[in-house]
Amino acid sequence: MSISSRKIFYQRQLSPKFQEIYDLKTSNLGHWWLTLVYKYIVSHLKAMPFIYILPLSGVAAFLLYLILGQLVVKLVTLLQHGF
Amino acid sequence: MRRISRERDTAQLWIIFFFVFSYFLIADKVRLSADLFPLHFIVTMINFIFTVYFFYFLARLFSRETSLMPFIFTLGYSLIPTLIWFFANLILFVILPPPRTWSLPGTLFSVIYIIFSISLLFWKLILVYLGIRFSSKLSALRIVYYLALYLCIFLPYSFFLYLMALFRIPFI
Repeated sequence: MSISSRKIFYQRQLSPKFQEIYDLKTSNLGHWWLTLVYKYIVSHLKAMPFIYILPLSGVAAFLLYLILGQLVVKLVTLLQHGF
Repeated sequence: MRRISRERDTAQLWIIFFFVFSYFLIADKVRLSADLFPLHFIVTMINFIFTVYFFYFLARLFSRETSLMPFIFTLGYSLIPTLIWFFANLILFVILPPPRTWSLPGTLFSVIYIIFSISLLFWKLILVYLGIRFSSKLSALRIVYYLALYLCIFLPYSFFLYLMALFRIPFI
């Protein structure tokens, strides 16, 4: 790559990309452990969030069924009326 | 969401609002409360504007450079999971009207419905968080505070709307 084409590449593609990325400061949750957990969760959710959301929802629904039992059916009836 | 916060093409928002408008038009006909359709739509738009300005003014406290348009776009796009849930509910109300029974198909359907609802809720929360993050450029902790503050105001307001027989579940 010649010097002029490298300059053009930097100005047109790389520089706006860097501006886009560094526009936001990195998140800090106040405690190093919380920040670590946050970054771990976000790194997985950034790529394909539904790969994690669907199984988590399944687990949450199952836990709800264990806690409420057949009242889950009443809850769904209420939600269906909610529209 | 990063790119959506930089958008300036308002046609996209009009399309989303058109779907919100058509949802209330159809839903009020199905519920046989067609007289309330304009009121439902107007209250929803007022809720949306209030939400946008709420987060915009809180973000302005920390940065004078914050602009309004990113909030309108990102929070407008965050209406998509809400639209999906309400439209799905509307279709299910017609195809499989409640009440659900305690039989095996009824229980299975209930669990699947809960999974669907929780997935959309997670998606909505992610979109709202990302929308506020990219529009306001605030840290995660501050956004969580603002969301908690928003819920402290919005939940009693939603209960008020329920008592007024306007909304059973708020359209946010």
